[in-house]
Amino acid sequence: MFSVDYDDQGTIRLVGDATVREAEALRETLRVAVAEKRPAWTLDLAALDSVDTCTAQVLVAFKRTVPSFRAHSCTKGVRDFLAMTGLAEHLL
Amino acid sequence: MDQIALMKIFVSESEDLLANLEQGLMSLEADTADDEVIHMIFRVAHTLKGNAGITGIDAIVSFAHVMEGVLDRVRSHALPVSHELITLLLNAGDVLKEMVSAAAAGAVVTLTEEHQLVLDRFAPFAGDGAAKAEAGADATSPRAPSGPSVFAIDMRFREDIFATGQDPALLLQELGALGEVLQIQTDVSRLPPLDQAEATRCYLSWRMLLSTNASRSDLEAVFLFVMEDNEIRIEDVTKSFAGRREAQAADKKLGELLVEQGVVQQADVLEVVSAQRKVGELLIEAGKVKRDELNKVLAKQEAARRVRQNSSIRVDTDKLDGLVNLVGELVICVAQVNQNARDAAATHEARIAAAEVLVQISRDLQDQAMSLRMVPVRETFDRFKRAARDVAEQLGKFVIVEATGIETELDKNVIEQLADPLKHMIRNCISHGIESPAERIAAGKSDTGRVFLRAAQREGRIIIEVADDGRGVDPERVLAKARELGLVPPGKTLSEREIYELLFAPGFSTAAQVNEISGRGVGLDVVKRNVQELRGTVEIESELGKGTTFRIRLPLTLAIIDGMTAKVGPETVTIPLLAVIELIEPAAGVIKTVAGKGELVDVRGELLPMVRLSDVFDFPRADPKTVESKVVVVENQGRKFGVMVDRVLGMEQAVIKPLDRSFALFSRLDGRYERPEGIAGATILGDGSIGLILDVHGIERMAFGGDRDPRDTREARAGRDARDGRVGAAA
Repeated sequence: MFSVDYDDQGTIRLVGDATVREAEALRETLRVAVAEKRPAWTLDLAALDSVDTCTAQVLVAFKRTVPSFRAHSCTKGVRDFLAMTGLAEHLL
Repeated sequence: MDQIALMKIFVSESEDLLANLEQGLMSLEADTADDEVIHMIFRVAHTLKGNAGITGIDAIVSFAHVMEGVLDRVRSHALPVSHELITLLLNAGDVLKEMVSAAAAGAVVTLTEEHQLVLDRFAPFAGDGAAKAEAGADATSPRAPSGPSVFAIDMRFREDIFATGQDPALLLQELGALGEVLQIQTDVSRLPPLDQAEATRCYLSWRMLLSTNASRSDLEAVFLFVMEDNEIRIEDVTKSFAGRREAQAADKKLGELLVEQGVVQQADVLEVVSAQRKVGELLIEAGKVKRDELNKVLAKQEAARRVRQNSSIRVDTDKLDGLVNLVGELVICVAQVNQNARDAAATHEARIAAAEVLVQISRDLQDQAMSLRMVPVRETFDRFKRAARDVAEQLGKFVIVEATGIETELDKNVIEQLADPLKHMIRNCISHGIESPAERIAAGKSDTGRVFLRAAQREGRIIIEVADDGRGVDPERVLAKARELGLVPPGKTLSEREIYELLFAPGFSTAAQVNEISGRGVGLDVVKRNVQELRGTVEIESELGKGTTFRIRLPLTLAIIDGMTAKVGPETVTIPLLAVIELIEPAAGVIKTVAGKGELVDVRGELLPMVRLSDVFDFPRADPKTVESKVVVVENQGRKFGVMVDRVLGMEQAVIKPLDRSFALFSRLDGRYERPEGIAGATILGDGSIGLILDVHGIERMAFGGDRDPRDTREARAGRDARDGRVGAAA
C-alpha cells in the first residue's frame, strides 16, 4: 500500500512501498505540488518502507526541479537502497 | 620577469579566482539558473587554465581543462546544474587550491591518485565524447594473474526497462554480491525536469568499480537477459587501478606504510624519527658537503618556501591616493616647521601652529596607513559558508549560513589569526547546536538550521558573532558535567555566565558522542586563547531551545592602541582606553577595606573591588609627596573594578612592540622569558623610555584570582557586606 500527500508547509510524506506501479501517480502528485509553490519543500521518507529505482528516479527528478529541497527522516532500508544504487548522493 | 615573481602573481591571482569559484558555486546552488554566475565560473576555470599554462604548471592545465569542458556544457545548457555537480566542482576547487599551494611552496605539481579520482568523477558530466574516450581504453587488458581483479562496469539501460518489469537495482545488487563495490556512480544528467519526464522511463546510467575474484564471464552472466538490448560494458581495469594504488604507496613514507600494514606502532616510528639526524648534518660529517655550501642550498629552499608565506594584500587605489596626498602635505608642513625653527623672527605661536598641523598630518597618515591593512570580512565569511556546508553534509544536517556585515573591515593579521577560531565555532554550532532534521521538526522548527555570521564595528571595536538557531546550551547539563570533571567543587553555585565560561575550559565537552567534527573537548579553550592573543574577548550567550551566540570583541588593529598613560612607582603604564570606564579622584572615605576581601572603591554608591598596581606587580613605591592617587575604573567582560595608579599622565596612542623584544624588561619583573600575566605588551614613550601596556583581564585574574560573577561585585555584595558589618575604615 502506497500513499503520498503534502501540506501547506511544503512537507511531502511518502508512506508504504513505492514501486513502478505508483511512479506515475507519484510524479503527478509532485508535479501538482510544485505548481502550488512553497518557500521550501521537504521530503519526509520516514514512513516509506521501500522504494525501487523507478520511483527513486521520480524523486531525483523532483529534487532537480525544486531548488529549495530537503529530504530527511529516511528509513534504513530506503537509505541502503539509495546507497546501493548510487542515488543517495543525488537525493539525500 | 623572473620565475619567482611570476609564480607570486600566479598564486595571488589563483587564490582570488578559486575564492570566486567557491563563492559562485555557493550562489549557483541557491539559483541554478543564474547564467551570469555560470559564465563567471566558466571564466574562472578558463583563466586559471591559461595562467597555469603561462606559468608552466601542466597538472593544473590538465585539471582545469576537464572542469572547463564540463562548465562549457553547463554554459550551453547541455548539462543541468545539480547538487552533485556543484559538490564535484567544489571538490575540484579544493584540488586546485592544493595544487596552487604546492606550486607556491616550490614543489613540482603533479596529478596524484586522489586528483585523478576527482577527475574520473567528471566523466558522467563530460558528454559522450569524453565518456567514450575513457571507456574502452582497457577493454582488452589481460586478467591479473592472481588476487582479485577490478572491473569497471558501465550500464546504460533501455528507457523502457522498468516497463519490462526489470529493475537495474537487482543487477547492481547481484554484482555487489560478487565482490566489493569500490565505487558506484549514477549519471542523472539525462533525467529531464519533473514535468517532462515520463515516470516509467529509465533515464539513469551507472558506472561501477568492482573488486572481485569472479571472471569477466561471471559478470557477463549477471547481464545474461539484458546484455543484448542494453549498453553494458565490462572492462578489466586491474592494471591501471593497481598502478594508482602503487603510485599512492610510492608517495607515502616508509613509516606510514609500516604502520598501515601493522608491522610497527605509530609511537615506535615517532620515537625513531625524533632521534633521526638531518641529512645535511650527516653529509657534513661524512665530508661530502661543506657547511657553507649546505647553508646556501638551505637558504635557497627557504626562499622558495617564503614565496608561499609572503602574503600580499590588495589595496584600493583611493586609499593609496589619499596616502600620497598626505605625504605631499607632510612635505610642505615639514618645510614650514623647518623654516620656523631657523627663522629667529618666527613667533612662538607660529611655531606651535606649525607643530599642531604636523601632529594632525601625522595622525591622518597613521590612520591612512593603518587602513591599508584593513580588509573586508566578506571573503573569510564566504570561505566559512563552504566549510559549513561540508560539515552539515557530513553530519546529515541541513544548514543555511547567513552572513551580515560582510563589508566590515578588519586588520589582515586579525582576520588570518581569527580564521581557525571562527571555523571551530561554526563547526561547534553545526555539530552541537543545530539539531538533526527530525529533532528540529519535533521541536516545531524548520528542518533546516541556520548559522549566522555577523560582523560590525561598534564603539571602536570589531564585534564578530557566530550564532545558531539550534538547541542552545543547557546550563544545568554543563554544570553537572563540570562537577563530574572536578572543575567545580560540590556545593559551589555559579552564575549562568560563569557556567558558559566553563565551555572554554580545556578538555570540556558535554557531547554524548565523539565524532570527527567535535565532541572531544578540544577546541573552545584554544578558541579563547587565540582570541585573547588578539587582545580580544569571547563570550557565549544561549537560550535553551532557541540557539547560541558566540560573541568575539576585538580591537580594530593589533599595531596601535589608544590608552591612558599613568605612573606607578618608577614605571609608566598604559591602560587600554577600551577598558577604561572613568577616572576618579578618591576623596576621603571612598576607599574602604573589607575583612579578608581587600579594598573596595565607592563609586557613587556602587562598591567595586580595587587593586593597587604597585602591589600587583611589586613595583617600588613612589615618594608619597609626588603621588596624586587616582583610581581608574576599568571593565573586563562586564565586570568592573578599580585600578589605583600614582598619577595619570594623559591619553596617548601607543605603538605596541612585540614582547619578545622586551625580554630584558620583563625578566626584571618575573625572571621568565614569557609574557607575564597582566602585561599585554610594551611601547616606546615620547621621551624614549619603555612603557608597559596593561592587560586588564590578566590584572583581574592576578588580583582577584579568576573570573568573578559580576552580580557578586556590585550593589548586592556591597549591601551584603554593609549588612554584615564588614566594611571598615578607609585604607
